[in-house]
Amino acid sequence: MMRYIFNISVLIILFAPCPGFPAEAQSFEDRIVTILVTSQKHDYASPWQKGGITRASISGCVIEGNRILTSSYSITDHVLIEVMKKGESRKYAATIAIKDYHCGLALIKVEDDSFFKGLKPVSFSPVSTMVGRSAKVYKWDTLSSLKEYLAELTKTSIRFYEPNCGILMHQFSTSMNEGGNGEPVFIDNKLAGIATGLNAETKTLYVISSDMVQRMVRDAADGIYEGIPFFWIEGVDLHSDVNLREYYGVAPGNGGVLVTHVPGISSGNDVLKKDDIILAIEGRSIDDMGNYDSPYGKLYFYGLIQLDRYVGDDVSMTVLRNKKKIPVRFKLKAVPDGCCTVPIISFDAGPRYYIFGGLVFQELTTGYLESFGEDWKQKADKRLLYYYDSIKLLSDKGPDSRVVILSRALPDPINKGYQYQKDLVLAKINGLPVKNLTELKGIIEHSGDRFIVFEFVGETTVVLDRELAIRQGKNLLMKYNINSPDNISGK
Amino acid sequence: MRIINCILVPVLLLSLAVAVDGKKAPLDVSRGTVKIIRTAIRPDYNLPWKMKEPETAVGSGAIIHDNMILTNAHVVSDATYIQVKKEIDPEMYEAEILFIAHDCDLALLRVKDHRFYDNTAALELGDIPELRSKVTTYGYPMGGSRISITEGVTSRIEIGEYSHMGSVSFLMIQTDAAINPGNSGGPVMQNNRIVGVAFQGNANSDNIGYMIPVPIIRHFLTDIKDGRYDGFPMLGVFTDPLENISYRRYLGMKDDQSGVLVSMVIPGGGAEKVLSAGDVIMSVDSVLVANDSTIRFMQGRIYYSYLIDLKQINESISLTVLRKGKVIRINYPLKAYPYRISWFNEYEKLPRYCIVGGIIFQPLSKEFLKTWNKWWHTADRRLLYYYSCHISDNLFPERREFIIINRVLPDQANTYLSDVHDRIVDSINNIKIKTLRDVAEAVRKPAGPYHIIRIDGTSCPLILKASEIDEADLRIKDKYDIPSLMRLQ
Repeated sequence: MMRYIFNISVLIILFAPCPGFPAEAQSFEDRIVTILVTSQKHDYASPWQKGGITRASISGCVIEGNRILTSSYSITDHVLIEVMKKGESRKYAATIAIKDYHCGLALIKVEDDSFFKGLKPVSFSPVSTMVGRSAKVYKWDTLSSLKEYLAELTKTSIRFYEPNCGILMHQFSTSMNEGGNGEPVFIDNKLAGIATGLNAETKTLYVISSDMVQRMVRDAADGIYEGIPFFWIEGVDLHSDVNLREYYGVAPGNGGVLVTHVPGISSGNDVLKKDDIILAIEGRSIDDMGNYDSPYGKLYFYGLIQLDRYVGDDVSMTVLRNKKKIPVRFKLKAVPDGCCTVPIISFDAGPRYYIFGGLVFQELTTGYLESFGEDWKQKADKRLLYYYDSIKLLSDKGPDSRVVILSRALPDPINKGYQYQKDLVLAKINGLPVKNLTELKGIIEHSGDRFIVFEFVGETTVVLDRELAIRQGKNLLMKYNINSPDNISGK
Repeated sequence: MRIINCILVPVLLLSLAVAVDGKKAPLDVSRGTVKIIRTAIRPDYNLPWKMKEPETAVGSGAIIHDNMILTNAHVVSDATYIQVKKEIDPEMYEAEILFIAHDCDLALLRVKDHRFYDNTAALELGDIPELRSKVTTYGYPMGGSRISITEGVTSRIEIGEYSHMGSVSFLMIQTDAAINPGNSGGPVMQNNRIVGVAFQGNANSDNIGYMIPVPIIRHFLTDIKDGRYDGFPMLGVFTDPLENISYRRYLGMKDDQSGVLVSMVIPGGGAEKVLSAGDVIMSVDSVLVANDSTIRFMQGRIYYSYLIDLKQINESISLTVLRKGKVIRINYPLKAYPYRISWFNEYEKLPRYCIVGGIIFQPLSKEFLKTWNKWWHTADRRLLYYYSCHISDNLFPERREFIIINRVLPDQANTYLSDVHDRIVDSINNIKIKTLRDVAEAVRKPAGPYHIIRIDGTSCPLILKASEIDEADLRIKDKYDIPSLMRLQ
């Protein structure tokens, strides 16, 4: 099969001007649509204003119930969504029905029903291992031609979208140079998944399995979409470390995952404990790599909790605790809003900020760190990165606890001497610890003190005269062309 | 020698010609200027029992009183062999280090062979040159083998970082006289007196060279009078400027009062139990400190740390402090910096380590982090955080140093741990690890049949079988060709 594809590709490269082997396809024209996305990112350096505007043309496919399926990561920070079909130039306004970054999928609705006239829903691949099978990837290349790309399924595994939602994902080797934005992938004319990323160097197309799509559809069937259950422990696969296994009393042949931390906001926090070893979930044993046997082959144990389970479902586990096997059972919770202490998903919502006396306070988010540039994990402030790396430990402080930072100061006489302060973590204000920006704003606004004393981690302190800061604040905002001194709602 | 670029060769030749045409004075000075050729060998902090390739480099020096040769520390650091040569003498003479001061990048050498001093001139120290006044640099920079003399003016006088040891700043003088690799250690002259020792350049700009000024040289010469170099003392606190009037009023300062805020008292430093956070230092040795942390100096202002740099360790300092609205006078003896993670480049030292069951334990230091290429961006993030914030964030105050697992030398006894690297050790066999010595102690007391190593950031321990370790250590020593499994000092 490989050799066959190779030969064909060589022949086609000879004749086709573009690399790869696109070919005209007829039968899928009524299933695949083009989505035009206009997006505007947020500007963390100036959180009161939005950044540059981009427009992209991505793909999606029609599913049952007049909905369009695509990758949520291709429509981040959208301002406008329009859809086009069958190579027609007419654009239909569309809205988002569900956008879930935890499973990487989005469903789009179109107000005008006539859009779906002549379109057919796709049907889903059956559950079975398909590694080695060849697949077809489609996207509308120009207005008029639907391009078909060949791909081969190389791997099916559980991969993670933060925060720790295990997603069943296929990896295809492909000849595509551009893509990974919602293109549907078919095996035997059935939908195997939705492309969500392409590594152009390794020519690997990452595809969210249609099992995840079906899970989403079933989840939303009652009109309320609750999302992927939230299971957010920290664990270590025991591998075959005989010393570690002996120490914890794990019998030979038993596999297991060592629980090293259970944040208070995770499902199972009331029954799972540090140093538990998860031996089985729902009666299926977990091997020492953390895998179980599935129709797709070996999958990481998160599959048993997140692949076909819903918020409110019960999960049973067998854990080894103090060298004794005990059964545990717990209810699956939803992902908390704005999870977590350092929010991992910072798309769509504007950065929360609060400006007082020209000091710009924000809450630390992944988006904030990403604004340090592509290599933010190297370039960002070392302390902020440490907080980011310690997110699960920090999250024990409660779901509404955030890391409040002074992101910068807008130079003005009121903050003279503080103008070089940036990226500092706020520890206390007037002697009180601060949970989040809402609390910070409340304390400052209701303070009866003459001075506001900001104490930052690392022994830096900043003091402002409250009345002066309020009085001069309005003028300062005008100078810097800032409409609002805060965005606490994060809209 | 180090952060110096080397594209100024034509300029160099030109100024040489001018100097030879000109006055007589340069001849005398060249009798007091020597070329220094040293071979050095540095340890490899990644495999701490190993040394790197020997390297040879050329620098300059000046003969001063008592047959001593003044040069830069970096010209002779980690030396295995030092030779000096005079301009008019074909002979190379072996020299030895009398004193070396890495913080201020100065060293004193002496040649044993008395014949070396025939026909030489001892140069005397002058003072801080005026801005815009002419200075002449003598030395043996790249681009030729004979003495090179370049002229320029004193362009700037301020506190700046001495990059040899790094993370330390002292008074330095900037000049536009060409200073190139090889000039290091050579005298910068004015009116036949030394006004500085050329020591570093600036990789990002042309015509910027720096010299170590006379007050810093004199500090070094005074320090060694007792036969030992102790280094510069530290105030023992971190201070913040107080440029904001609201902050000053909050602290109870009158609008005509000025000073700097003590933001943190460094544990173990000289100011412990003497100063406290929130104190305002208004004057140092009766010199007023401004709100921007500066003092009057010549025609301008410099950072107040200059006043502390003039002191020796154990010398007393006198501060006027505003504490809780009251002005008080405080005296205390200054101490050296008590670090737990070395923030500095280190020399003349071999890395300390301890290998147990193939696990290499080492103290966290800048030298270790520097084993990463572009280390400040690429080294392990947790290590970088500990390195940069352990004092300010008061991380694990009980640890006197931070012991890390550098890597694991693969062996059958540690086969499940062989990928572990760059972790910070919390405890071994339930003994908290506060120094490298604790590691050697703790592995003598296994927890039952195991050695249990706990690291920061996870509760999953690293486990070795205690009964296998002695045998494994012998095997590892032999297979990896390690002369000694530990160097604790």
